Amino acid sequence: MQKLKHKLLIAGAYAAISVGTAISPIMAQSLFSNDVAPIKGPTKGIVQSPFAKTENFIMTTRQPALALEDAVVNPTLIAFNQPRSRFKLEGEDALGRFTFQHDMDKAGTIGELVIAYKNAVSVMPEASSLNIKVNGYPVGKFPIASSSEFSAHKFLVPANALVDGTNIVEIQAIQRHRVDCSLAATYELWTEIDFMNSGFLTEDEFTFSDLKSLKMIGRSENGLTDLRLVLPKNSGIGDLNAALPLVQTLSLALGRDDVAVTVSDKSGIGPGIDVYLAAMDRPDLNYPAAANAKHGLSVVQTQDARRVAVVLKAPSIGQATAQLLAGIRGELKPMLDAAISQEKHLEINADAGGVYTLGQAGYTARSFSGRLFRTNFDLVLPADFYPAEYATIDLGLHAATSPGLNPQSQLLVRVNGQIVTSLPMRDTDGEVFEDRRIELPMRAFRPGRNQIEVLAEVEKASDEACVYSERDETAPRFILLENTEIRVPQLARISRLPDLSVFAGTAYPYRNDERLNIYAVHADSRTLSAALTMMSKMTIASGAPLNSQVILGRPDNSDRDNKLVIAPRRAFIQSGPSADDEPHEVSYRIKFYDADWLPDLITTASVESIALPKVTQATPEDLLQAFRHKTQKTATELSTAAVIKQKFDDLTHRFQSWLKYEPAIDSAVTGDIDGRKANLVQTLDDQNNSVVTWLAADTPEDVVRASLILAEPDIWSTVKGSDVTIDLRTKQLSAQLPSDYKVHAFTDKSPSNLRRLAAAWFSDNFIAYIVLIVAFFAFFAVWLGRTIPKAGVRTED
Amino acid sequence: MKLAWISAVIAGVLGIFLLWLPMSLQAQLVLSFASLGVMFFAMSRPDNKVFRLVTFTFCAILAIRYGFWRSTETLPSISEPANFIPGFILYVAEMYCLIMLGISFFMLSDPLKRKTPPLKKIEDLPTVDVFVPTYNEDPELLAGTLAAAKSMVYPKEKLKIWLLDDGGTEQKRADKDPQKAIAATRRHEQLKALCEAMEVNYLTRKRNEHAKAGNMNEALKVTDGELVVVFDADHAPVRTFMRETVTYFLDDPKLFLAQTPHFFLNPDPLEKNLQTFKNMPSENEMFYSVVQTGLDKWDASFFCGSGAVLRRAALDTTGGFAGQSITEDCETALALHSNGWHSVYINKPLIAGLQPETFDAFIGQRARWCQGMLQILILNRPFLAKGLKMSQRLCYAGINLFWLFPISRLIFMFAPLLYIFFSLEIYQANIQEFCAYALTYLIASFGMQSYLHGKVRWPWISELYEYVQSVMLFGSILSVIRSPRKPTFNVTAKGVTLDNNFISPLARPYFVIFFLLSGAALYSFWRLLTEPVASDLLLMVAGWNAINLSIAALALGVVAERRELRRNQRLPVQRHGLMRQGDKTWSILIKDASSGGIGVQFLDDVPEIEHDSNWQGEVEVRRAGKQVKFPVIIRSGSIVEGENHYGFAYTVRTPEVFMAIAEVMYSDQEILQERINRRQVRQNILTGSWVFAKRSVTETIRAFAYLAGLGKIEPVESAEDAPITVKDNNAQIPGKVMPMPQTMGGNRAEA
Repeated sequence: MQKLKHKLLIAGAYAAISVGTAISPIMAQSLFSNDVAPIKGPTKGIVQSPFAKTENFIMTTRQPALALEDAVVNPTLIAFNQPRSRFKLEGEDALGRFTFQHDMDKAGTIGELVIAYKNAVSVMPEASSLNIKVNGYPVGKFPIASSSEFSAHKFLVPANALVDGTNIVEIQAIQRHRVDCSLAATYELWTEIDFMNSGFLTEDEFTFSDLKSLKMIGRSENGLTDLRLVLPKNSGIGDLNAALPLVQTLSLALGRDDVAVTVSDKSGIGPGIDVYLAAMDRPDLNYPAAANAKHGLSVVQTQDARRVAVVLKAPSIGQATAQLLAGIRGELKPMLDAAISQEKHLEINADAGGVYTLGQAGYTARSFSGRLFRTNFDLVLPADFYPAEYATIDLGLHAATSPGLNPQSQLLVRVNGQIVTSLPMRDTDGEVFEDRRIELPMRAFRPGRNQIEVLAEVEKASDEACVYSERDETAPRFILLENTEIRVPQLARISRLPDLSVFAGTAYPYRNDERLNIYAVHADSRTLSAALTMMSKMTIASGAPLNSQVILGRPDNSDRDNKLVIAPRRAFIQSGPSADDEPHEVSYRIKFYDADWLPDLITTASVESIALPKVTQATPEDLLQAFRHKTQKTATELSTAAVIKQKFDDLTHRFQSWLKYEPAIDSAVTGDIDGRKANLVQTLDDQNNSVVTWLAADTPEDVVRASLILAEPDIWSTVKGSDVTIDLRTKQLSAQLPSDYKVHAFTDKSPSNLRRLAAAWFSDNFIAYIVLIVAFFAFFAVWLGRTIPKAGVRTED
Repeated sequence: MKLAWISAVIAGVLGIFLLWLPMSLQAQLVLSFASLGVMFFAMSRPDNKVFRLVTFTFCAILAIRYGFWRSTETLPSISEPANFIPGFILYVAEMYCLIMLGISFFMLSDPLKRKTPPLKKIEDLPTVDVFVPTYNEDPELLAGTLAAAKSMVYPKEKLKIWLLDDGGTEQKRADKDPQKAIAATRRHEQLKALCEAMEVNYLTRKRNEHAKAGNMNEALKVTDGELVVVFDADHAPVRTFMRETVTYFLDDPKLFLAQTPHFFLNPDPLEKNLQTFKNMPSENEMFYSVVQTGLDKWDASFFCGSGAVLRRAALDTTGGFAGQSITEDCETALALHSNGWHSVYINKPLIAGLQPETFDAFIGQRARWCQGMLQILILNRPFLAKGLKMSQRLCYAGINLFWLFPISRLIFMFAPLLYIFFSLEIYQANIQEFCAYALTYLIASFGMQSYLHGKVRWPWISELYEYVQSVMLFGSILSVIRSPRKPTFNVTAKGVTLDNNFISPLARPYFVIFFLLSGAALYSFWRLLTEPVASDLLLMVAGWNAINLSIAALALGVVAERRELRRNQRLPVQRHGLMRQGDKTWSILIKDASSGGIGVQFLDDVPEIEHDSNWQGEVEVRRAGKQVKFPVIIRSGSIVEGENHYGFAYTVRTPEVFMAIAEVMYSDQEILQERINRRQVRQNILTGSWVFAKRSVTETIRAFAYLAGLGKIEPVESAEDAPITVKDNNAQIPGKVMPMPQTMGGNRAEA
């Protein structure tokens, strides 16, 4: 009891100091600080994703403030489980939901929550705050006032707020702009939580000693969970393949979707997990780290307190699988079960038609008093979903607006980055929407993961003045209720390939029992790292280990299995398996690099690190249109006739694009990405009826860099089309839709599915549809025209 | 043949299956264009039956698709009753229109053009009783009709003419009100004298039971002709009426009805007040020129109360004319069709009659039709009636359901206001969907309207007629739905003169609606200007309201009654004749004729006729070498564009003069046909819309001028028509019904 009181006092002092240090820099901060430039918001009235805009600052996490040094080196700071991209809280009312694992037996019954953060310069501290809750218990609140550097706050988490196992931390960021109350300005509001230096500070010293504790491991500077397969210097591909089940099992058991696997002959540095497969009958596999380990799976704390080693030790290499199975049935089982069956926050899995409420997905309703309400959730659709117009996915809206809003208030729904519909909310006396049906066009969705974002523009006339003393920032303007429903109709089911979105979403078609051969064209550790990272992504996406092996070299026609090819030359994709320009002889010995090199994505990224891809279908028409748009601005002395013609041409082009289901013209379309790039390409091997997916870049360094970019969950979930080009500098993706799909599997042959499929196919080929209709009905009409004169009173001539 | 049938059915089913597929908006829009293209192409050969059915089919594609989309995609959520309830009402109104469109496609799929069968032997002609039922019509009107009936070409011994007087029944003559009793007695005596003078039969009965049907059923008991011809009191037949109709009965022993169209000498209130009578096709022409010919194809043309021949044997099977509803004509036809009897429709104008002159009389007539048809719908349930073929069921259901139009019309008028004033979103669609489904359907509808009815109905005129009736008939519909047996027969007033311009006593709701829609138009315009993000929906609704406002504005012109001084409606005739005075003779062209006088042009020499003189002469016309003469007196004269025009009145109106009038007016059926043909001119949608919009403005101004008392005109005095001389001793009866009892005038005849 004495001890507890003492800790409470310490915690109180910490909090007081933290708040003080956090506020003081703000007081002296200039709006024109060179440290952080505000993000330019979109044009008023047009809601765009801020992700889609290039931001001209580096959101680095590499230089934490001095005040954080304790936390950085403190070995008992348990990291949050969420990937790095979730740590940015944007908008006027953003809610971040994070989890951490806690072991009361080993780490005590109380502890401190450390929140290190930095915010945009435009955030007004007087009206902005972070509110923290742990498992629903409020533990702290402080003004957002750290625009120049990361600063940390610590809060004591009392025993009654902690649970053994998964703890939920909710961080609500209420943010208001200093000088601008417009909608556009809300995009300038953000607060970033430092993913490396935030977490739970345990009461007692804590060491990683069992498999369960792996969930507490921190992330590397890249923001990824580092899983390093350590192999001996002279190991070959057989050793690597022997370790694949272990790597896949650990990828699954961690319950994270940002695992990056590296292959090296050295152990790693910093937060992460080293993986060893030790066999007593192989001296080269008898690692020092495994010297004291028992047979089977075990966890060994390394010298680096933030790093841990997982050892699978077997009497012989042949018995490694049996030892792993024993571990899976034993200590790993609850971890695997929890990881596979875990329901992700704000994610709806719709394997078939059904009705789902936002509340079921974890959304919590709360009154919104800002100008632009934003919330989003993911909808995971089945792999064989055929997106077309045979139905709509409906949002059954339950919401309300307050009196006094501008009549141009509206609710927008964005699907996968594109605004698909809007609902005017014109009633200035306040409006209640009870199950208002909002149709979301099916074509905006894709198989696998889809992001749906709901935005409500709820401005008031008083926002224009934006006088601080007159602002009422507490009066609610909008509420989106938890019983808002997503209604997924019966879907047309037929799997069509190539489609990288379903590959990324559910690992289709690699998730079935068929063998997946992973080809590493070069036998170097970088290419193999990329291969294992991709394999790990597949494993996590499918929720099960893959029946796969790594093969060195390029695939040939004799391989009838599905294939994933990691190629350090992009030209290999085009040249195909019969090309003879392969510069590298196939080797069965892995080439390890001398330098323990791992690309640092942060140092090379000159733009904001989280970016959604743009689909740029660079047809000649699009390029011409984009060119015309650019040159149009300089043509100031066009004749009236030319202006009219230009308008007409634009209208015609827009109409033609609409007819072809193409998205609206994006003036940013350039048709190409400059600089270093990689490609993720899916092709079909008709001869073997198999699917080949290529990850190719121009060097082994680039291919591993590409794999790390794809390891970021928010980027991975936006992969689509048949050919994704990854800009390795900016992390921008450019997706190309396939010119033609091929049916890969067709199982549901029920009449209703056939009807939906017919509708979907005809929608994509509607000229055939119209020709058939005209032909059928013309035939019918001619028959009628010959029959009716003979019916009733005969009138035939 | 069977293979063709099977193939066509399969093609149709496959087509429907494809239509049923939930396709993209892009596909729907292109399909719309394709269907419209095929439809308009097929319209280029209106006389080709195959092309006609292609036109129908492709319009039906757009209609079916619209209906399906409307039903599945556009209804508001039931959880929002403020939106859902009015939205559903609008939806029901639209579905009603779609059903009516489908039925009309069926009805009009192959309209019949009949050729009169040749007459083989005169001896085979059946005996005929001509019924002229009357209740309160003027004697001169009856005299004209009876004279025309007498003039019909038919063996005299086989033709009997009966005036069936329900205004002089024993019940009426014994009325407790002495004035009514005297008036009925006077009418009884005068009409008896008239019939005697005209050598036709007068018949009345004891009690006024079952109105017109009861009147005719009483006549059936005392007559025995094989065929019965019915003429309303104001419907005068042409000479060839019997020739054109009776021969059908010789060919088909199961034929119970030969119906002819009703041609009208005078304008209805809309035509009169909007001054469209000379140029625009009459409202009834759509029914008589198009609908009845379509019904005839399916053996479903029905009795319209007058201008028809019926077989007594058929009537006997159902106990005579049906009297359950107040539209005994349609009900009678329904009963006989149900018993397996046939009907024919002869699309030639063979009778000429009068329409109600005033707006309230017009509404009274339409209220009777509306209530009667709905009575049949409710009480007789034609769609389920035994004995009818499916095609007949559809036709009867269609013609009865049509009279629910006031409900849908009013819904269409008021629905936009819900969005404009209250932002209720009762039609859930965006502009792209509206264009792909609704707009293309509307274009197809307008195209079909022009294709089917273009010659007989100008653009927007149907909407105007529907609207002006709807405001007043809405209550009638509710009344008959509440108590289907309650409505009673009321006789439409005709032959009325209007001394001055005035606002109809029924005008108030039309002005209220006009103000309401004007307010909505202004408010929607204000919203469009002030709302920064003006929605597609507001634009669509504002446009819809503007069209409604235009209709409501022109309706004000309809209820702003223009005066009607003409007592007797003229018929242009172009008949050569001679004018004699003493020993002088002039060659004349009789340009028009009425029951009060004739319009004359002197062809060679023009007599010296002094202004305000009592110049008299005798007109002589000839038929088959036989002279027909009648005396006339000058009433007016003028010279227009070098042509002289003189108006003469009959100095006396004896039975012989009435026969002469019938000879001049109704001897030539072609005159009636020519007048119809002259007005059946198409007007395209753009011209029609422009004219309609322009007149909406001018007629609104006129209506408000009348409302402000600026429409008053100095009364015009005119000479009275000659009384009717019914006896050799110059005994006379007045041409018009007098308000007070009056004894018979004239000189006592020497015994």
